[in-house]
Amino acid sequence: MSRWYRWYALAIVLSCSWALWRGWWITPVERLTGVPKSVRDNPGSYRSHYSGYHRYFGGK
Amino acid sequence: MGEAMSCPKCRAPLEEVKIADGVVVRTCTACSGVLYEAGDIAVPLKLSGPRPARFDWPRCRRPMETTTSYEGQLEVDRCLPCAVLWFDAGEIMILRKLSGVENIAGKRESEAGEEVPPAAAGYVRPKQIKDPVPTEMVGVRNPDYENAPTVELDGRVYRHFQTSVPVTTFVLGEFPWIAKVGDTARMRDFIAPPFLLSQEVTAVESVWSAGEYLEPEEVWAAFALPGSPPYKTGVAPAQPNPWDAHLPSVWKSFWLAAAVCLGAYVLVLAISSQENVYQGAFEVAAADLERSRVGDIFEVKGRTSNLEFTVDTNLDGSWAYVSMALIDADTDKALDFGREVSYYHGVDDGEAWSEGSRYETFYVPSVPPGRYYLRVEPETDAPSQLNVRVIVRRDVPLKRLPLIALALLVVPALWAGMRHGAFENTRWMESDHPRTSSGDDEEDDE
Repeated sequence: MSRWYRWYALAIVLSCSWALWRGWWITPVERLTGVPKSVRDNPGSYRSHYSGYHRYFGGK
Repeated sequence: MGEAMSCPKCRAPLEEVKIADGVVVRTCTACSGVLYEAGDIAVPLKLSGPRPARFDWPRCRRPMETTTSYEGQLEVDRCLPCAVLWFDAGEIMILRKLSGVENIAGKRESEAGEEVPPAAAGYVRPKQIKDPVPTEMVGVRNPDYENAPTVELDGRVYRHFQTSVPVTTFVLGEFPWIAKVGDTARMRDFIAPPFLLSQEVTAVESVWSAGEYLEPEEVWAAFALPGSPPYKTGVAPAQPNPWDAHLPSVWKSFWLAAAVCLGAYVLVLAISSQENVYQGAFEVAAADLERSRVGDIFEVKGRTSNLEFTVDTNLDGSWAYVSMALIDADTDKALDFGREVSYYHGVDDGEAWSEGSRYETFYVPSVPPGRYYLRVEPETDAPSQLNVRVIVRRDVPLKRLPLIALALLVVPALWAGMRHGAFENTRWMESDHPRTSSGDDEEDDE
C-alpha cells in the first residue's frame, strides 16, 4: 500500500504541476480545424457548434 | 436454581455451572465468586461467629452473615433463610486445601442453619504471590480507554484486553498440574501486538505468561504439516495490524505530496503573467440577433496556458447565451465554447431577491501562443439592446487544481486509515473495551 501510494502521490503531484503550468482543465472546449479564412470578412459564413441553443424557461 | 440472580458482591449476573454429582453452582461473571446451595457442600464447614455483613443477598435483600471456618482461615458469607453460601474467588481452593478434600461439592444436609460457636480466629485472606515481573502502571492513561490498566515489561506497554473467570467444568487429558472440576482462576490478558501477557490469579498464586503471535504459516512450517493452514478468520488479540506498517508511511507521503502541490501552485501563481490580452464590446440589438460579430485580432504570447474569459452584460430580468469561437488568425483552427448569463431580480412580499449574475467568468484550457480573434453569436430574450463586454486574460492558475489534487491524495490515505481502524475495531470487539459500544458498556471490570 505505502509503495503504491508513493507512486500514486507522485503521479498526482506531477499531473497537478503540469496542469498548473500548461493551464489544463477539464472544461469541454471543442477544438476545430478547417475554419474558413473568410470568417473575419464574413462572420456569418461559419456557425458555431453551439448556435441554436435553446434555454429552459422553467425558472422564475 | 434456575432463576436469574446477581452477585451479592458486585451485582454482576450469576452464571449457572453444572459440576460434579449433579451439583449446580452459580459463578459471578465478573468477580468469579461462587454461590453454593448450603446442601451442595460435601465437607463440613463448621461455621462460626457471625461478623458484620459485608453485603446483602440480592434475592431476599437480607444482609448476608459473614462467618469463618477452619479456625478463621476461611471466610464464608451465607444467607440462612435462603440456605446459600457465598465464596469469594479463590476461597474454594482454600477450602479444598484446608479440608483435604478435592471434591468439595456433593449433596448433604444443609448446615447453613446450624448453630455455630462464637467467632474464632480472624479471617485469613488468600495468599497472593507478589507479581515478580510486570509492574502495574497505576494511573497511566490508556490511549483508548482511560480506565483500562496497562502493564509494562521490558519497556513495552501492554494494554488491558480482557479479564475473564473461567471455571473448569470438564477435564480430559494430561496436565502438569492437578486439574479439577470447579477450579477457577481470574485471567487477565494484556496486549502489545504481536506480544501478549496473560495473568492467571488463583487463591494461592499469580502466574504471568508471555506470548507472541505467530502467523499460521509459521506454525504450519514449524510442525512440517502437509498442505496449507486454514484461512484466517477474525482478528486474534495479539495479531499485528497489517496497516500499522503502511499508515505512517502513507500519511507521510500525503503531507509531502500535499506540500509539493501547494508549493507548485504558489510558484506558478508567482511567475504567471495573468495579463489582459483582449477587451472588446459587442452591441446586440433586439432586431439583429442572428448576426455574428468578430472582434479585433489580439496576440497571446508566452507558453501554452489557459485563458480566462469574463463575459459582462447589461442583462436585467432576462438571459443570454453567448456562443463564442476563438479563431486562430493564421491557421484554420478554432476553439468553440459558450456560456449562459442570466440575471433576474424583484421583490416578493416586501423582500428583495435576485438570481444569477450579469457576468460570468470561465476558463478555456491550454491555448497555444498565437494571433486570435473572437467571433461572438449571442442569443437572448432581452427586450432591449444587449451589450456584451468580453475580457480575456491569459495564464491564470486555477486554485481548484491543487484542491482537487489534495482530495485525490487524501482519499487513499483515509481509506487506509479506515481499514486500520476496522481491523482494530474487530480486535477490540472481543475485548472488555469494544470501540463501538455505548458508554455503559465501556466500564472496566478491573
